[in-house]
Amino acid sequence: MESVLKLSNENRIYSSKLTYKNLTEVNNNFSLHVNFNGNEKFVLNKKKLRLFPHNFLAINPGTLYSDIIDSDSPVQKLSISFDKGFIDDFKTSFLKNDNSFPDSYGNHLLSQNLTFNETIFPLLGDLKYNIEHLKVLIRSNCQDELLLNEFLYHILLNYCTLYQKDMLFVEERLKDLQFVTRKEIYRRLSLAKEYLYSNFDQKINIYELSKYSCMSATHLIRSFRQAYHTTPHQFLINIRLKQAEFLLKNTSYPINKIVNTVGLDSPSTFIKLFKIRHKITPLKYRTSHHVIN
Amino acid sequence: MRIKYVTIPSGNTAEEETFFVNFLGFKHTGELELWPNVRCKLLSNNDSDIHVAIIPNRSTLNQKAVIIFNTENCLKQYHEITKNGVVFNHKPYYVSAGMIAEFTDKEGNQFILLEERSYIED
Repeated sequence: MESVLKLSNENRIYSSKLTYKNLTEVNNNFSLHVNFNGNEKFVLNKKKLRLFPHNFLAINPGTLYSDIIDSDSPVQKLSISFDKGFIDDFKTSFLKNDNSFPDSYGNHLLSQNLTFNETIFPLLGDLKYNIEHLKVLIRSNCQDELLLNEFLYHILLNYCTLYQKDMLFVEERLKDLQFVTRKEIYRRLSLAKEYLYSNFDQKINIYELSKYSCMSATHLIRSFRQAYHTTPHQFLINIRLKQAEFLLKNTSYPINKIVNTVGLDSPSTFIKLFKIRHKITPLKYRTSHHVIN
Repeated sequence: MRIKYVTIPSGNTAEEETFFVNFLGFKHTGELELWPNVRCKLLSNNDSDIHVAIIPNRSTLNQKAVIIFNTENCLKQYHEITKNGVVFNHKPYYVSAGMIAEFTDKEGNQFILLEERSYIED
């Protein structure tokens, strides 16, 4: 099942639930891709990425990409393609300083710094809420273009806020470096994070990770720690635990299967790490969430 | 004991009632004599979980109410209320508790739509 909602301003919302898809195209518009279960492969130029729940992928206009789904159970996804005119309006109208809004929560940003980064990001905060609301509207066959565009506007705003906060956060921590070096290190650290988000379920070797990020292993670990106050390994563990939480809440997979699915070594390691983070065992966590649901 | 009615002071209770009925989708449920010769208009929303009492504003007091409506989808609610003709003070915006939109009636009573969002997991 796949549906496309084409709005009169050329914004498009794609909603699908598919077990198989193999599409290669160049989209001339900026697009965001979210999948709510399962995994989906993307090939962007030479980069091979996999998209899992809790993450989203931003693709820049003009990128040749393949979107591949090959799964036993249907993968539910949502993609939004933003027309260039809509993006231009967004940049000029909202991103100018508007002092009538309280700040600090992404209500205004500086337009001169606005760029889009083609990579995987975690689906968090307001973006997560607004995507979920849009999903419900699409499912209920909403045709109200004003309302849908309002959501697209906010989703674009949330994406820019998330990206700019991440960039500013890193640049602040690398402020002793020259501007050009800071930008380049941020780009390479983004590659490292993208690799971890894509391959967390595999055995990841620091040398493969550093090769992908175009840095030496030592430089990567040092810069990653400096920028994010954590190591790539700890960052990877967090991704695995987050995915495990999702599987505990949304599936009936036994612990062994969850451990294998998220790429951890053994159930005992998983339980230990999980208890450190949540102060309860995975099974108690699952029970408490099933009771709530 | 529990709070049953949210009170809205108004210099023109009939006009205030029209505002609630036409713009916010409330229905008239009755009247209540709260003090001698002072009648309040009672209204409820569609789900009958919000009960409002519009009370005549005493001329010596310039009473104003601030009403916070909880909503599951602030943008959608904002859009629906806007379609009814209400002009919001500004577009919905983000605060640490979630998303907010606000408008004011002719009497100066302030209405806030609040969609509470949890960012703890982030």
